[in-house]
Amino acid sequence: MTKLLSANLLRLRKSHLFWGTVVLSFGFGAFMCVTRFLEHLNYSFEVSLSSVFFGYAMVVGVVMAAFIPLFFGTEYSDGAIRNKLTVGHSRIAVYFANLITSLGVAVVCFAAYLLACIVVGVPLIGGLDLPAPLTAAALLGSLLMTAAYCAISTFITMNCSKKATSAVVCLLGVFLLLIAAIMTLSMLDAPEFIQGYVMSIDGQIVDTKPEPNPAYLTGMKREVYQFFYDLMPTGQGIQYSNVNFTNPSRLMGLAAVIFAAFTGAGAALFQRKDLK
Amino acid sequence: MEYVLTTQGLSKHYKDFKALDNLTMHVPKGSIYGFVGRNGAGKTTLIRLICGLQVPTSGSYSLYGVDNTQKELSKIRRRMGAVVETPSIYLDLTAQDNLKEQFRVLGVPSDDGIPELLKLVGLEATGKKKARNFSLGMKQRLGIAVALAGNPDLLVLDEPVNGLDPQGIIEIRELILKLNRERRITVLISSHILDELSKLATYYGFIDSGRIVKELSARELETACRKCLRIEVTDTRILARVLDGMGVEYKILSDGQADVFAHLNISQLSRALDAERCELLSAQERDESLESYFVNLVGGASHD
Repeated sequence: MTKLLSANLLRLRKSHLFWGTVVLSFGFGAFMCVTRFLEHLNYSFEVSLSSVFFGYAMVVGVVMAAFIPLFFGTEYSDGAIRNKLTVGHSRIAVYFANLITSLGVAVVCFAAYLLACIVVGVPLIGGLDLPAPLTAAALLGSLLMTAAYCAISTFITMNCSKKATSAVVCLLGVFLLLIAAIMTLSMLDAPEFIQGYVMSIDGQIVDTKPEPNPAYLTGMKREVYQFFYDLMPTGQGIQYSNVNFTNPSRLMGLAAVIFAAFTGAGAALFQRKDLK
Repeated sequence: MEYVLTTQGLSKHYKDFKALDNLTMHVPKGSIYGFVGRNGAGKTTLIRLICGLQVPTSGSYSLYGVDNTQKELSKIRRRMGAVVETPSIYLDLTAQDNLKEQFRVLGVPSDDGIPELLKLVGLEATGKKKARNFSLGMKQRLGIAVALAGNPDLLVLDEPVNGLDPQGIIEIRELILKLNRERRITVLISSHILDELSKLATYYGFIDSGRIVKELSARELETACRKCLRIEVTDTRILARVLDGMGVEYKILSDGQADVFAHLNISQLSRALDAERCELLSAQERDESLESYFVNLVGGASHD
């Protein structure tokens, strides 16, 4: 597999797509820091680097959903995957070499974003004011979540022979997951009670006794929604980007499960796939 | 005879469609094996199977004596190179970078062999030009160079001259002949352009509806297609005696039929046979081309 990884690295070095993605990731980090700084200047908001430092967790899924099909889908569209199999590389080796390469790309892009936060953000909005264990948990969790994203996109790309189709499916999938995560979050965030207001005859507004919110999720239903919110990489992305998570080990465990499930299923399907 | 590739009852089904149906073939070492068949006959399917791109539904094949079910096959595959359908090259890389990439895939430690390979296929002057901007012939030659990167003993080419202009066809033909003669590379080449194949192949395998209909050497095919006089008589033993007396070359086909490879005086032959109490029933001049041989073999228009 080292030969395949070496070949992938050589192609990455020559790839405009790869360098473009890295530059965009850096640019996005710088943009986020400058935006926060301008908010501070214009509206005197209290801002800190913590509010943007893990912001990439929100977009890494979209970035990899675009990068993986375009980069590895070329092996199908140009037919180059045949060169690997014809000379005796196993399908498992080809699959894992591509997965590992995509993980490497995701880490490099994440690093480019963090570098921008340090280079641009620290001078403008100050350093990171999060406790070290929380920073470490968010960093490790984000990486595992990124691995889950890579596993999903690799699963689709390696089992779909059409580059354009896999790109559309990957991007559509991420956006659907993002919508699902936002909807789930809004349901989980619904208040338990609704404050009612009554306007009296003399025009005074009077608070009434808070009423229970029928949309508030309770019991098993709440647990199920919370589970899916934690399971979805997009749900995890929202939590990491806001540095607002209560159970990091659960998030990491679920990301690892997604990674293992999609990698296992993807490799097994690719093993049986008829290639042209 | 030593074979580099043999298949035994190889079948590949796509749902109800039998792309390959119990196919058995033998590719001799050092040969240029012309794999002839109509579009959809199963040529590309067979090539996909032996390149490991697809798995047979039943049957087996062996490369250099190693069966496809054995683990060692992956090592043996290192000895083959292939261009399946379209050239497998990265269009956004240069010719040199494409070869570098394949050298990495193969684990070749040094890139020193790249200029020689580029020269071999006539692409040494392409410089920084991306493969995307190559002509079809150049892409095909680069595909062959990539297939040759591992210094293979067996080269599999699927329709290598499809869509090429006459100059491109000549270049590919000369390259294949050079590889076979100078590097002793066995070449399996599929095509439906029979005229082109006849300029290259030393062995032929005719495929129709997923089955090998006939395998023969170029010499046997030449004999089969040789200009001759097909004679029908009541007794070929008498005919043989008469023809021996005339000192001409012939081949007895059955009790009543023979092919004579000489220009004969029919009246003289008829009189000689009559004297031996043998009747000359018919005489027909035959000049079979590779095309007509193929059409006769696979059943002609009924199959189209």
